[in-house]
Amino acid sequence: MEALHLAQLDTVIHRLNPLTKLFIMLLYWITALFTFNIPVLLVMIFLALILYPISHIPLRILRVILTIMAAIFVIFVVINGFMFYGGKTPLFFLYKWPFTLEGMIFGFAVCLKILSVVMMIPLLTSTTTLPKLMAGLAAIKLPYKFIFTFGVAMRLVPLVTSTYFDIMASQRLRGHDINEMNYFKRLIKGYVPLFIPLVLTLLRRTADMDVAIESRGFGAPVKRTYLEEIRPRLADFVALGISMAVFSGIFYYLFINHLSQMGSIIAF
Amino acid sequence: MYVHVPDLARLGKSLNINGDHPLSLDVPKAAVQIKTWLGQEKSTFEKGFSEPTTYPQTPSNSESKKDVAVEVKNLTYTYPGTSSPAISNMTFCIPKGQFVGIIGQNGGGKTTIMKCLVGLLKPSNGEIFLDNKPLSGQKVGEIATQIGLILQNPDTQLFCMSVEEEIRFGLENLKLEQSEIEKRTEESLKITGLSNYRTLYPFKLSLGDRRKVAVASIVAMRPQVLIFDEPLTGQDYKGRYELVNLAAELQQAGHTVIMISHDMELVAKYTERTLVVGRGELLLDAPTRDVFDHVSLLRETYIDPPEIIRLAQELRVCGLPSGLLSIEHVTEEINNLKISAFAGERS
Amino acid sequence: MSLEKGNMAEPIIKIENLSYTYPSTTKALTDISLEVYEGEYLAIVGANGAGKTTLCMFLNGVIPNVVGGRVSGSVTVCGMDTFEHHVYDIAQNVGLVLQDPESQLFSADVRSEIAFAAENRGVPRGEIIKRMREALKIVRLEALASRLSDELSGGQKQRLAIAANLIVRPKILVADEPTSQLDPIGKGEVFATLSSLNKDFGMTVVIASHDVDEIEKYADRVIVLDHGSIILEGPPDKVFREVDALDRMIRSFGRWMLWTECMFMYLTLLGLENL
Repeated sequence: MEALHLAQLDTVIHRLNPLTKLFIMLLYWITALFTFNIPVLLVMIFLALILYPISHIPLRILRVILTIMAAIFVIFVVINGFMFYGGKTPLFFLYKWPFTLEGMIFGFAVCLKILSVVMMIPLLTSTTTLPKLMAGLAAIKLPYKFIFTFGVAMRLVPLVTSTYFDIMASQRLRGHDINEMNYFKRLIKGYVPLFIPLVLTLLRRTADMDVAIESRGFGAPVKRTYLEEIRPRLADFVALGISMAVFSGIFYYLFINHLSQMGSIIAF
Repeated sequence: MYVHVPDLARLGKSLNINGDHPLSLDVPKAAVQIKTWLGQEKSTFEKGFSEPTTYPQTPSNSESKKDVAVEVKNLTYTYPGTSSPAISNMTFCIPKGQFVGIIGQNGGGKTTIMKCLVGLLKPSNGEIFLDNKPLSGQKVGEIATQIGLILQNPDTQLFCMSVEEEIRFGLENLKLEQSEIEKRTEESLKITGLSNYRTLYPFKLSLGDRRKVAVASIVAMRPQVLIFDEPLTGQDYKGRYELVNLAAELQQAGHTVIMISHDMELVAKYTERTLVVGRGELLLDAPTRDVFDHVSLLRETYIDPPEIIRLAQELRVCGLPSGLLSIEHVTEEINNLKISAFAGERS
Repeated sequence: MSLEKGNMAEPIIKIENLSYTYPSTTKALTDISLEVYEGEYLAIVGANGAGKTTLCMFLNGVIPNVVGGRVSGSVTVCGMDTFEHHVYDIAQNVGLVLQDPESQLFSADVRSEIAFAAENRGVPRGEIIKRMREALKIVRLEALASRLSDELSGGQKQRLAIAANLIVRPKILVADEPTSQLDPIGKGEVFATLSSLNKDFGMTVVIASHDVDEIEKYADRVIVLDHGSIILEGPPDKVFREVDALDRMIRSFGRWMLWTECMFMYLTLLGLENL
């Protein structure tokens, strides 16, 4: 995937320890999930947004995220507008069912939370090479078997997608074009000739891979070493310091001014 | 037949060169041995090399346009996201019923051309005509009834529970009558020799047999032109031989056959005409018997002629005629030279 | 490493009366006996399904430790009985390169692929970096060291697989049809690398292949497998002249492949083996 290529670049963010990035990301997620305060959420999204150009992540990726989120936004706002039980101020009626202002705002806040969570993900995956990430996870004592499975799965994704496209092309040559089928036909019969060869190919590949992995000493009862070095450096402490300051600031602000909005669903 | 016997070993057996040492398996040394045997170590006799012929780019007016299976004019294709074209300005024309080989290094554009010919890729420039009808505007499914492509990896196609179902799949997509489907399935099974395999699971068959199933399922759609993309990789000699033989039989049955391959020996034996593709260009388009004479071009594109052909080239100085492609012919000609040398000695 | 070949001391690989049947009851090898000496370049030829891959997988213990099945006889590699040792121990002396470039590379980039085998054995980081440099030099991939595995050609991928095995400094390198998926350039690269390992570094090389012309150039000894048994053995220029014997080889198993065995195992797990 493109993420693998982007991760090879070199910026301040790239050079940070993967564990630092993971920790900051978790801090961010906890904060975002904890509050419904829209201005605060907007500030957080803005902060994340600044990091994109710093990490050389093309805005194209943002566009993809936003396009996917757009549909979710609409659905959430609509549902919450109608269903929010704390809603008091109706904006309009649909067959006597009120669409409330509070509901709309609540729906919007939920969407912002989701958006902020999703936005952080490329900041991790596109700035950390897979081996570094795996070494980082090993440093926090996750069992290697899990880390390795995760790494191989990541590695296999582009292979699986290219195989899938090859299979699609092959079946088109026999008159089976998935893009030409209507929705129902697709669901029932369309995907079978695409998925079965995909699954069989995967089974075959993983069988061979199993032999290769074992042949290279996997599972030896020896303390494993790592090519990638995971050492905390000055930049990591700086980044951690900044993040802690920012997030405690946010929490303080919320605590003092908007205690009612923290984690509880009450109209403001 | 499962292990390929080196050409020179076979030649050595049929030639009966007297002497203590059998014919060397190394081409230059073997050439020296044969020259000595013919009494022509220092031979300077040289039969003039005739200019290797190349094919006309477009059918000449006298040639009937009706007989053209595939015509390609200035075909160019650039993959999206790349700056230079994968193939540029390819022009060639293949008459019906010909067996054409396409050789060249990986990445040179061979597969790209094939994908354009079957409509999987839309050319950036240039035109393709199948049986004098333009290719553009047709859907892949329609094109598949005129030109069929058998890919290198049959596992990207096979998914059914039996060989028979696999063959029927394409036919059912064409929405043919059941009786027609039955008929064509039988024919396909017969011509690929898979009649006894009809109820077996394709994925349990060997690679060679799976390839044959893929061939059968494409042939059932009755395209005039058949393209085989690297059908010989990963198989032992017998498997490769069987597959090329199948392609030749399909040619006998009336199909136009195009085969992309790295196996020079089988290309030399079975194809009538060879296209050399490299760096996105058509480097050479000539009858197979002349292609291997373009020694420097082949060396540039890292193509190695088969041993027997290299030996025949070394022996041209002794009067061996050009264009010899098989062990049998080479043996015959060398023996002829020996007889005339012998006769020359006596007289 | 010893550069001398011939009947010096003990053979580095000793196989005695080996017979093997796969879990799916396909009989693959019948009474194989073979001795390989250090520094030899041995080639195994035969039809698909004759047992070449099976034999290769015995040499580092993958069979019977990973694959299972019924085995009789013995296989001793570098003094270790492969039935009694784990693959991860035998693999310190024996490298295995497989046929398909895609299925044996599973790391994101070139460097981590090569380092993998050494990391598994706890080799210190500095030592890994040193050995990686050497391995890249031998397979001539120094220029591509920082690339992603996806960006390599077929020949380059196979050379990467060789380098990934060289990192543990094995005495023996086993290659199961490493060139069958490659174009002529890739074939040439791989054979040149194997030859260099054998001639310049004295590594014992065992290769299963169909490329008779290349084998004839490089191999010291060839064995021909047919239907699970050795029918011919000797130097290439003798074996390949046995035109009649080679022509007469009987039908191979035809349908067997490694992955059907694995499919069989998966299906057995699901209780569907009678499919």
